Amino acid sequence: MRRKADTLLPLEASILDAGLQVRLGGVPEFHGFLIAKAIKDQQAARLLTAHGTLYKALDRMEQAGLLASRWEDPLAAAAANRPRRRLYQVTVVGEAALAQARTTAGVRAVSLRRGLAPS
Amino acid sequence: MSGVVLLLAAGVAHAWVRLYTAGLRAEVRDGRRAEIASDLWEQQQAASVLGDGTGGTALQLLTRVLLGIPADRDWRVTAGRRRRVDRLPERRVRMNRSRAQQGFLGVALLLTAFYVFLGVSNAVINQEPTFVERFGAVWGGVLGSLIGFIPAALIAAGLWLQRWAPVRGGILVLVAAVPVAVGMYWTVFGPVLALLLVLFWILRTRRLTRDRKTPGAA
Repeated sequence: MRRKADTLLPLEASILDAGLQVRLGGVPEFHGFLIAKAIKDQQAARLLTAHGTLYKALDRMEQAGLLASRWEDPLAAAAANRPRRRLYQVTVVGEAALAQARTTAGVRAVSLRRGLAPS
Repeated sequence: MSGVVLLLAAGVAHAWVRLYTAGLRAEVRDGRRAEIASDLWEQQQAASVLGDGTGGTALQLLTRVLLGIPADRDWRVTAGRRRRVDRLPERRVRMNRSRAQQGFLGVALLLTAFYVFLGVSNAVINQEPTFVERFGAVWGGVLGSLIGFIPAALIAAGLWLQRWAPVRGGILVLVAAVPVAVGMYWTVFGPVLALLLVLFWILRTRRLTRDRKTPGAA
């Protein structure tokens, strides 16, 4: 499906939204599983986002500048006895894109209601 | 038993990631593998903390893998294109439509269809008596059907892999196809196809070797 330039796909909007919610909750950076879980909880979904779908979206969003990522310090991961995490954070560009998407969605919803309203 | 199921599911996920990242540049390949490994570990840990059943977690894990396969494929194509991959000589050889390659592909597809048919017939029509006696009708049917479905899936994976790694992909196809066909010698159809597959693979490998020795021939 062709997407319009500078628009967010629903999953991308969900990732940005969940990422900002996680940040508001005191966690400045998130990893893949954490964001998948946050999206599942937000949307009351039955399943977590598939690996391929999620990590492809994260990669694409990083390429577009909506997210920034870094690998966790190996010593921190070793101390916690787990694999290293790739940590993402929502960039200023990402925040702006999400705000724009919400505004556009709001304008579309208003137009639709006006179109459906009896004349 | 349920812990084993979870280990198997995680093993399938790891194997799939290794498969579709094969042939990429090391930093891209290793990064993706490490990221998925971390995700798998986190999911298992979360399930353990919440006290979720390992069977349910294994199913969720496999579902996440399976539903993401088309996106994995797209990512692999993009990741392979985005950076200049320092290709090894075997990947420089274009898989043009030589007769040996066409024959290999055709026979491999026939064998895949044969194994799928075998799997379905074991599951539904003619359940393997040994498995049914030992594990009951339901599980006996499931295990009997795996005899067909697993080789079929591995052959398909090998055919897909050989687009980027012709030799490794071909070997995977052979390893998946031949032992089962030989084990079912009474079917005749399977062993004959397996023999044809080996012959086409030998011809194809000779062609690849010849092409590699004459630079620019591909």
